[in-house]
Amino acid sequence: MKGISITIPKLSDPRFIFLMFTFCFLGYILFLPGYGRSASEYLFLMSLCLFFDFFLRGIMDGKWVFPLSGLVSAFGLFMICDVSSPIYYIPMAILAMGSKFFIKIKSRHIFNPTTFGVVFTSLAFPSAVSPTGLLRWDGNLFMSLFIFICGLLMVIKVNRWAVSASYYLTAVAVATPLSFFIHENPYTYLHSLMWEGIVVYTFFNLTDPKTSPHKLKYQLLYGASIAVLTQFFRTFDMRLPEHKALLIACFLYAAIDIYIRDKEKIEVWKVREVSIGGR
Amino acid sequence: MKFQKSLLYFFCAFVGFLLFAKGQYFPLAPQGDSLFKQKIVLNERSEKANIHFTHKNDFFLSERFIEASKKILPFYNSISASVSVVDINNDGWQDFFVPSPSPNSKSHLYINQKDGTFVEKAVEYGLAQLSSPVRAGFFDCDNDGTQEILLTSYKCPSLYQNRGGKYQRIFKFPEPCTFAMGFNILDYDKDGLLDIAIAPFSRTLPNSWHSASNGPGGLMLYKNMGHCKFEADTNHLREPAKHYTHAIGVADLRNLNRQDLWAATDFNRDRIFFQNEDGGYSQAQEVLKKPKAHNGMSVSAAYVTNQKYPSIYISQVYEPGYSIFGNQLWTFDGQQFVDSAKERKINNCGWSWGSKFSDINNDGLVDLVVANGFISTTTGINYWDKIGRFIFASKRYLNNPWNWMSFEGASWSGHQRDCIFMNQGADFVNIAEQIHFDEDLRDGRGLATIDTLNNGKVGFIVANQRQKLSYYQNETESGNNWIGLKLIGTTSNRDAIGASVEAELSNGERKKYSHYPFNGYSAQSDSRIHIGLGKNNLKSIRVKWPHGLNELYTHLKMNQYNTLIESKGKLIETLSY
Repeated sequence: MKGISITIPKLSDPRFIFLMFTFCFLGYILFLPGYGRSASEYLFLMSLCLFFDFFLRGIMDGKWVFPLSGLVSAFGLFMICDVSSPIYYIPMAILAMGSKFFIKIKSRHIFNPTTFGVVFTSLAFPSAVSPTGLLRWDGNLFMSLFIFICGLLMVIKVNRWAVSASYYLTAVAVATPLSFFIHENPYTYLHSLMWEGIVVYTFFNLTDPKTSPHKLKYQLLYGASIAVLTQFFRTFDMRLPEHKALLIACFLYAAIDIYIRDKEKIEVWKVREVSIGGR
Repeated sequence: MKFQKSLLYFFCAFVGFLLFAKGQYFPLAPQGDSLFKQKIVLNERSEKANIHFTHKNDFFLSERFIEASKKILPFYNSISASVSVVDINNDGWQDFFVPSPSPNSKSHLYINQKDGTFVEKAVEYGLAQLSSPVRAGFFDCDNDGTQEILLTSYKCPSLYQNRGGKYQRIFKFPEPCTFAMGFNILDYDKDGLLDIAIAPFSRTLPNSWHSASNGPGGLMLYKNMGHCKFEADTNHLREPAKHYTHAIGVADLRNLNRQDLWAATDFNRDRIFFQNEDGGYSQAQEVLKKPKAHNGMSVSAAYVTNQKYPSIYISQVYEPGYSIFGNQLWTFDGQQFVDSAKERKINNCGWSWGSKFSDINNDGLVDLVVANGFISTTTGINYWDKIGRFIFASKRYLNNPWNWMSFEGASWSGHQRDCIFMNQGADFVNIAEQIHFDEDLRDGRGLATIDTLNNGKVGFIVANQRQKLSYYQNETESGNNWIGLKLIGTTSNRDAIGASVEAELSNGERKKYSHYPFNGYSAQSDSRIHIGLGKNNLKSIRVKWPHGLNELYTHLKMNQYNTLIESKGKLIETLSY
């Protein structure tokens, strides 16, 4: 009898570092008085993401892989979005994980699943899904610092520090002079950059190794372009400027990569195979 | 090729999903508008009734310190419209008072002419020129049959008494005190004298949208020491936390003949205070299931169906894409409070403020009216669009007005239509659009019920912020029976605040009401109890008086107001507290 072979990531997989942080943050935010979401809601969303990640990959690619990406995406979605009913986690999980398996260029998914799920669910259900959930993080600068340090370790590990650095520097460089034109206090955006949610976004969403550039020069350009796009959207008071900018940058990068071949040597998560039920 | 095919599938599925979402959830108009069969007629009759009041609030323009934050003046001046319904001359007809806080403006007192019109007499009563008044509460603090006034303002609250026909200040609350919209009148120690529960709001800005810790203070009790002298009572309640409280509701939340308190809190969770056996209060936050929304504006209480415990309706901010949870209807289930607003279809009413339960069509089911809208302008600038620029700033940053985007010309959840939720038993249906309610879409704040013609048709007054007052006369021809009750306490407080009434109908049904006319937001409603009976007749009325007497009243006349005097009914039992 032939068993089922499941691919599981090795412990050196950088996503485990992310998961470690995830559970720290989760513990923190669930105890915040203003967070308004329960552990059972997280478990529900996590189950959905795991389910869709596992089975969509099985069906689409014919491989049974431990759904670590689903775990990571579940946290991102849970952290960012307020939903008026947990039922909205279903389309959110489908969109997030679906984007990973259905929207591909050169066999590589082009959008960060969390960002895709957040943007499109909140556009489709504005009366039931709100991405202002990040507000519930309490605006604690010490927590921001903690996330910043964790994020820094993570981006060094996955070799994406240039994306975050470029994003931060460009954002400051563009936002400061721009604030005078849009009659905004120049410090306002700098403070926004220190918000816990934005720090998570900068270090974890932007630096998804699967969807962000590989070479240093492209990473710098990628981070800078997202920062410029974000400022553009903010200037016109558009909702979700950071996430929309990231989606557009992901798409543009994937399209340009056809020609520049930055992802020829695509990063592959370190995995090992385990057989279940075989004789 | 494989890429194109899978992308095509995903695109088709996505378009289908969007169509589904659009059909199901995009419509922001209240659902099921045309479903309510009976014709409800609520007409705006302020002109016809001779009511010409426009609320003015430029208080902060006159405050020098606020020069630094001119750009958010509309925000500062956005929460002071209130209305108080009272029978000020004891003629059996309901009058009302509307304060105006601007330094050079005049508050109005409208005296009922018994023909559907009013005459303005604030000057005659000495109530026209008061010091920046924001909310008035009329109650009999010395049980002499005349109404004193608790007046909150941008400074310390004061108490006014009618002396020789004119109201004069007799008591000023001691410092420290500040601007307060949220207060309620109750006799928490059951000594027969009405006390005050009050909680401040603030001129400062919150340091968080969900867990602000820099509010002006907590809930305070002021005990009536007799002769309308009040003293802060920290023995019964002490709340050191600093909150932004919009309203305080009183209700017997656990059906224990107690006067529990619910504080509708902005920028944080609501606080619940259970009354203990000894009359003191303890905070009972753990019974509230983790609440999603943190913008409590008003507290109204009613027995929505024939349930054991009263339900508490909390107004919240609802704005698609930003604040999506809407209003809440909390009911105690014996262990904790459960929110059923969504199931009952009363959660979506925009940026909600004053709310009031009342039986509009006398069918025996309490309906719900909600005033809404925050700041309306005609420039087309939407402040929700601007909020994304600074909303993610840190706690330290948020409470500095310099860091907020300018409000100049901006609308923030403006031009919203008030809601009329008609009770259908299992759920409600909003008929506001159907009956063209509030066509002018003003920014409603305080909302009070009033039966102007004493005919059992309860109408509404909506105090609109910096706009013309709305007066809705109920002209519904329902053909249903009703009964009105004016309660007069003798050993209890004379206004009988805190009394509960149970009506037994000819079909055996029992309907419960509690008498707390100050519940809601920044409003005092008709001080009489109005009960719709449907097509039934009334068998009896049982009154639990605040001091403990439980009496039965029979042979009451339907379709008119009856005066019930404590200890004149048939004694059933005496409850001790």
